[in-house]
Amino acid sequence: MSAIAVENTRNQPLVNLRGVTKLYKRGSETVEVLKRLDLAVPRGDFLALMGPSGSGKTTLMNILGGLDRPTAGEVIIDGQPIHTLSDSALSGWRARHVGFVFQLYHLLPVLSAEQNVALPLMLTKLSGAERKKRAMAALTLVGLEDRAKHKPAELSGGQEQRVGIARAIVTDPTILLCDEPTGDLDRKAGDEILELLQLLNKEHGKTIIMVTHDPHAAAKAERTLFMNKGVLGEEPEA
Amino acid sequence: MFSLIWMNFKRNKGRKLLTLLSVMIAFLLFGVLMAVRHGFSGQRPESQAATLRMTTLNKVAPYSPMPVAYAARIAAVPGIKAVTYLSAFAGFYQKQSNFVLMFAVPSASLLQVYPDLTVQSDQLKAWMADRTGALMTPELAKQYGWRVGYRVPIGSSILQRDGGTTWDVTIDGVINTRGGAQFSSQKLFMHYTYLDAARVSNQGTVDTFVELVSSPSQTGQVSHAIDRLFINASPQTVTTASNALLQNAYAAAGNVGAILTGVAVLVFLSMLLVVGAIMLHTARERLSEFAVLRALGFRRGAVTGLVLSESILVCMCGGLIGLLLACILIGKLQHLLEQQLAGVIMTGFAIAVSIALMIALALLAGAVPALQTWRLSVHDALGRA
Repeated sequence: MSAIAVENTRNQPLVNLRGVTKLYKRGSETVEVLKRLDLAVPRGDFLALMGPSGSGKTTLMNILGGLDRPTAGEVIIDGQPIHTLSDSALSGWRARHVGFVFQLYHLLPVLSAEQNVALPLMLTKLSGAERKKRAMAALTLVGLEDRAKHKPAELSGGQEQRVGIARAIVTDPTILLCDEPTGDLDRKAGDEILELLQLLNKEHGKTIIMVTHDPHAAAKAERTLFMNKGVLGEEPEA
Repeated sequence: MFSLIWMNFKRNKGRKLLTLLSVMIAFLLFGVLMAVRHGFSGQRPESQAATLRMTTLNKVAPYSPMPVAYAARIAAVPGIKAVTYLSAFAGFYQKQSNFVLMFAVPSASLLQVYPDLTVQSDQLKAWMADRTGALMTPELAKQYGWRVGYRVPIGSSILQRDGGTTWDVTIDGVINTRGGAQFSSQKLFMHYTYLDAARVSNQGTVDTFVELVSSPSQTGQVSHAIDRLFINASPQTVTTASNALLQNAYAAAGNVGAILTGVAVLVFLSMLLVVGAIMLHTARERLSEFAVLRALGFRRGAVTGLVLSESILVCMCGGLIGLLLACILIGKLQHLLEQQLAGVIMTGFAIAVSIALMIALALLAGAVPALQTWRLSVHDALGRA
């Protein structure tokens, strides 16, 4: 790649949505969840998405994360038009580029914290020892190196979410997608998670898009967009 | 990936153990049924000599007496290499439950017709010279602790001229098999002359003639020739290849093999429903986990493979343990059933069928949950969770 091309890539937004529409069928009725939505998220941004239930936030996250496809429009992430990828290619793309943090953590109960974190690394060609080393590094980053051998049932909610974040960052993904990461936590544990996300954004340059209902959580982001009836805006609807 | 399969295999230990036990018992039962079915099929590992042997019985009532004089006429039929005959009766040692199958045979022709049997030359010589001598099978020696030289009384229901029913015989040797011939149960071979001279009834008669022909292709022609000899005699005879005779005997008892196959199929189907229901329930519980794996980048095929491999692991572990137990049980049963059903063995074919069924069971039981996982909508599954 030439120097000019590299520079062009850097100047492009990391996430670029153009005219994204998503339609769902509910019985005989067609519901337009996302309405010709445009969004540009620069590299290193920490964006909060707020909005009432059913506004389309989670659908947008699913499309950004390659878990769902738009009915129309383009989804370009880091220069890659992911809406054109096959199911298999999309899985590979997710493994390399996206880290998911879920509201309910979604850790595998039979695996220890370290094994849960190392799970995405099973899709790489790394050796077992290297996977373990990287999983421990991620756990250390979230402050849970001493809980590595514990199963999810032996951890608090906050600790489980930190393991979830370690799992999301262990492959050094291009983008972190967090769906209500503090939604199941008390204020103290939620704040710790938000501080961790801020740290990942500010000190490690991670691009983060976070869906939240909580204005307190959204305030920790660099900027907030509001979703209402499938449309994005700078201000919440009155 | 295997570590993930193994970790999942270890979860829900109680449920997994019960599933394994169900599969294990099903394949234990299946293995035993296959072996018993084989016994009823009359198929045994045959020596080359066994394929050359033919058996002549009383046409009106099989195993009823026929004149021993028939032997000389049968021996003259072209194609026959040797003829022997026997009278069999049930004997017992010390108490009626100690069963001994007695064969009264002519010592001169026995090994001519049964070249697949072997006796040490000095023991054979001793037996031929001893009017009340007998040859025992190794199983009989093992069961009652008999040794060469022992004098043993064999009780029976056959009345002797002196009013007794006990046959005192001296063990002169051990008769063994070679070349895979099945002739190894609790049998005792005594001299026909001893039996015939001492018994009150049926003198000069035998139950069975056994012929040895030169080639298996001659059996049809020779059997007709033998039976034609006695077409105007009483009794008439019926001659068949030895193995065919055995199969006919089993067929006469009803198509037990088909019934056993039916039972085995039902066992398989019920097991399919049990394991299928458990796998379906297990997979349904874990749909959100599968969705997470898909979100992390695991391909659809890999996650579906995870479901199927767990089903395979359950069915193979339970099935192989069950099959192993069936082999052990058959080994024990073989000894007990030798007299009634000598062909009860676990064949390579039965083992191959069992393993194929384990794989089929695993794939069929895992098919519906695998399909569910294949069709899984990641965002829907995560949303439901």
